[in-house]
Amino acid sequence: MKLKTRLFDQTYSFRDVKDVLAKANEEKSGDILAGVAAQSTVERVAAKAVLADMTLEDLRNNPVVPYETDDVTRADQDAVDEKAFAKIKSLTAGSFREFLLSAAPEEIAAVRGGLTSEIVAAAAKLMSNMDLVTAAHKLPVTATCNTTIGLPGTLSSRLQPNHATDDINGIMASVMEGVSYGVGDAVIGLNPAVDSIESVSSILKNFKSFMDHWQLPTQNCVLAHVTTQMKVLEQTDAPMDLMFQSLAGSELASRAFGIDVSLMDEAYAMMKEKKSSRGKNFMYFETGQGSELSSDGNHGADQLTMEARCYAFAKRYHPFLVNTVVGFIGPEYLYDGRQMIRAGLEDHFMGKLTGIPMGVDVCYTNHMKADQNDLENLAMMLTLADCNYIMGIPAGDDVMLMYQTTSYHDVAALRDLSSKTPIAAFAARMQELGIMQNGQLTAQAGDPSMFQGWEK
Amino acid sequence: MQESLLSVGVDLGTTTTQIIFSRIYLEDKAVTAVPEVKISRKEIIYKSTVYFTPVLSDNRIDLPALKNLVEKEYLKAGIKKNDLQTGAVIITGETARKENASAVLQSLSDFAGDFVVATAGPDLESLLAGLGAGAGEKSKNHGEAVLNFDIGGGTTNAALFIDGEASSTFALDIGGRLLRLQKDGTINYVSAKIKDLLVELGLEDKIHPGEKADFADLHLLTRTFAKILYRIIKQLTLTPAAKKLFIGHECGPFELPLAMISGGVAEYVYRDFTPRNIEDVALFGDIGPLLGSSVRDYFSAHGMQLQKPKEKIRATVIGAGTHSLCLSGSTISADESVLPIKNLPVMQLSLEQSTADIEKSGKILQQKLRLFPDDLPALALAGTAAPSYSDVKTLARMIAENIPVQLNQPLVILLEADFAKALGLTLKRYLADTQIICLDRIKAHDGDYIDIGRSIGSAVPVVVKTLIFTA
Amino acid sequence: MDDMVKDISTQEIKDTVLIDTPQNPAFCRQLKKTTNARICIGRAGSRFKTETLLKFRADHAIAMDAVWSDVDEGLIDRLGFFKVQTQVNNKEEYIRRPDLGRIFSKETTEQIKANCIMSPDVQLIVADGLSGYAIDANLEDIFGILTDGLTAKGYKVGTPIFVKYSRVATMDKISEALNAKVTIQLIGERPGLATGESMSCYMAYESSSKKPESQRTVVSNIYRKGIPPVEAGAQIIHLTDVLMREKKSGTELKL
Repeated sequence: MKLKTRLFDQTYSFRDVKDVLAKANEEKSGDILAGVAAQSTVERVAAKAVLADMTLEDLRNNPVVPYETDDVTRADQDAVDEKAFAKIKSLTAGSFREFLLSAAPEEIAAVRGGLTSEIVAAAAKLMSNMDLVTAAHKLPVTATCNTTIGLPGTLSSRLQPNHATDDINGIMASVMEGVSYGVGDAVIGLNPAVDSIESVSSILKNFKSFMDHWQLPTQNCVLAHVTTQMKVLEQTDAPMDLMFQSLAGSELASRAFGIDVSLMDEAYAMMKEKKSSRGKNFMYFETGQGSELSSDGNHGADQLTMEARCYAFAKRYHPFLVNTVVGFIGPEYLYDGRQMIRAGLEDHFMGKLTGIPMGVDVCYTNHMKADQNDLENLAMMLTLADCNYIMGIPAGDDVMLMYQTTSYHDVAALRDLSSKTPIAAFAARMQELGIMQNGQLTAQAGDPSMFQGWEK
Repeated sequence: MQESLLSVGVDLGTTTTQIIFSRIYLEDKAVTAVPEVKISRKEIIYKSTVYFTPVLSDNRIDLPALKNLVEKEYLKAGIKKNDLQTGAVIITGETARKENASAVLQSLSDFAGDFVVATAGPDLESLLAGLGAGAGEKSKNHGEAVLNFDIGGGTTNAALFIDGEASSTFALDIGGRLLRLQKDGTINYVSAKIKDLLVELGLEDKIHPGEKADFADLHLLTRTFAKILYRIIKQLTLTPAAKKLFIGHECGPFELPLAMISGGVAEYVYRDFTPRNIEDVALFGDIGPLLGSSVRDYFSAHGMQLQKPKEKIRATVIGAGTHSLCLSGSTISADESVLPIKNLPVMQLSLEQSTADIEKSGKILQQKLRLFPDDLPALALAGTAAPSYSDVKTLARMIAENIPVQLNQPLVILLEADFAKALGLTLKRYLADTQIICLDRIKAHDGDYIDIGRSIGSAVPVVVKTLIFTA
Repeated sequence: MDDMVKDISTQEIKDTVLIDTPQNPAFCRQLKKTTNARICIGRAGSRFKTETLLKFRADHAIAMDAVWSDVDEGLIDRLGFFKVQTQVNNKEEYIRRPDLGRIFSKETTEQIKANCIMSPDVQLIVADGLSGYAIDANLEDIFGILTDGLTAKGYKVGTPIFVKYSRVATMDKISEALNAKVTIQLIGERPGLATGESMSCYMAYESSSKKPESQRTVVSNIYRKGIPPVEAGAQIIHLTDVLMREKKSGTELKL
């Protein structure tokens, strides 16, 4: 394995695989903050050149966090399909990139089982933005809960009806508005302000009652901590279609989220037994570049590689939904719109290559150098990349989490632009309710008062 | 934190008497170090049988029988008087006008617990019935006004709700037991309240005690009652005799609301039963079922849909047991040693925005306080939402300078806006020796009385008793 | 004023239903009352109406400006604060390097020790954080009630300190330097849309960089439309009593 190269009469040498991976990253403020980023633009390219020459076997054998000390590394490595790995292990990362861009979707799907996070991350680091879109476009991933997400020609959306104090009337007002725009086919899912058993179970019940009353074929979820959701399953009769948890890419960082692999194994087993949904996929995960560094759990690795490791963690539980919350973490990790767009494309591509049904929370905070235009750019690119779903929130303004994400209007416009539709069963119901006609919003759409009459 | 209060509701009506016990759960929803105590859930844990109100032959309430009945229900529910923290005993309808009503109320109130309100009056009854029926909640969830008629034995109590709040209440002499008959159809009793109406309908000779009732005549009477209720909702003119049915005051103008019916008669409004002849009517001994079916038929014939109430015959008692209590804000300043406080009159003081006007308010405060020479009333201040610190200081000084400290009574202040802790703290600097209760997020007006309970978490339960509640 | 285009910044989102012909306008108005979310906003095709777009942009603009604004030092001087700066040199570095916003140079620490009351019962710190506007809007009222209230209760109140380019953790450094019992830090919150004025308060007993973040007791959402600054001040005085009595803070404290 070579760790050195020469560019413009200057020698660039790197400490190890982890160092190469970090310096090969496109510029991110989080890697600079971590002290692992390339010092110059040329050094960055030198690292990419060294990375392109590494074999996939080199990458697999050098996980950025040791197998012995980290349960996420073990989950990733132990899940490798050795036969699939044997077929590709001698490829260099550079030729693997070309394979992803040139091979047929079935051929790529056939080697997915042989990949580890570091291989997935390496591929992303060698790709341009349009490469990431082109490759992701060839990597559809479907999953089935009550409905099936990720089928060609669909663009789904999570209806995110957040409220500052979890007032149920206020939450349902946003739900009504969202459904009137054809939003919510991925999930009706709330980030709770109050993480209590009583409140979570009551919201789950209300979502379900609304779905039943209006016969909406979708999923319900309240994104409380997994331990709260487990208590809800144990102690209440609240219906739960999807179980949620935020994931991080190392054992140390997971601890900051109050989880580890064994707790998630337990949660998964409990959900399998007690869930209210029908399909084989019933977990929902969120991730985001930078969360490992923010909890001092990045082990000196870059934020992109750590993010790829989250997807290996997620894969273990055959999720129905996984999305990166790309611009939520703040400017010390993703400084501006440019970095946010790059990260969104990378994460979506890496999730799809890992084989998980990837969506993206396209978002930014007010202390980033980013605005609505950056958000809209990324949302359009991801639609072209066949991203499974995006968020839908009233006017893009989350009044609880205090950040901006995609709006109900964005979901509708992106479907128009790409001629995509919601999940078929949901689209059919939207048609019956007079909200959509052949995939387009009708004149009545966008009026929540059509849902008057439902009682909580 | 999750705590709960045990509440009792007793409704002593014209025809029936009921008791319910409910548990009101409170939860601190604080996400930071600022408490936020809210009522999270109300659960009815015990509903008594619906008793006929025990009445003596001279038409007074049979007090020993009533006490016996209440005692029995407490025992059956397994609840002791001392377990109760709140609730309401109300005497409603014609019963409230019986000569020994206040004696009954007093004795029941003593019996039922320390922190139990004892009130009566048609307007409060209307309000509680509407809340118990779910009309308040419905108006909040649906964005449309809801008018609830609670039709009982002796009276109909109406409450109009807009956005969850009662905007007006009124009552009428319309009820199922204003006319009673024997099994064979002979009329036993006709209330004097409907005499003018009977005259207007030309029925005064045919409908009076001793006569055999004719089905068509009774039907005309109940249809007329239904028509009056319908015309009130539609704001159409009423005949002079119909107008006389209003108790105390008529209703003010309002925009067309949704209609809801609760009360004993509602049991027959929302049921598919129609008395066809005098035998059907006489079976029940009164005109309740016939009135119910008349209301149902009249409203549906005129194309007005009736909203389903959450409770029918129990609406008032449930309203009394679960809706009489509210909570103060959670950052308050309360000298625990003076709690609980019962039946304190309220004096309202409207506050202007600026500092100069606060000082002017001092004179008004002094003048108004002369109306309460012996007792220091609770001061209710609207105030501004986020006053500056200098305004808070001016306000505190103004109050301190103008209240009669020589009475040596606790000072109770009720604010609408959220700055009770700040005002209480500042007041304490001017009135070091006075016990101060300063609460916020409480709306009260001149003429109200309040009860304040001991603190629960960081809030206190408050009952604002609005005795005169008119349009 | 007739020569002015209407002020979109003062418009309350809760008050306006922009749907052209809703089935039930009253129901829409009712829905609006239940949430701050921007619902019932109608649409132009599948995009926002111009009013929605402009209001959104205005609310984002004020939030961004709040982040990049400096606290009015005239106010700080008038209230008699001792002023210091973290190791951060400018706003951009402050945004990119949270680590530098948590520490002082050796000289600054010495200056703090030399100029401020040692071993106070209560040390008050004001930090710009992520919104200078939040401090400008709330400081005067909360500072008044805090100093009067704490002094009246007989606490030894330290020299108030203003820290420029500061993260929350500077309170640990100052507490350590001055040997304070209770440290109270008022800091500008990361602005939400149109809420650049919101301030938070962090409190700790014997605040220390050796203790975890859970040592801190928090009061947030302090501004005229959240918890009014005077009321927050009264609550902070109450919490000071609790911290002094219990000799602990944060999650160790069962409130």
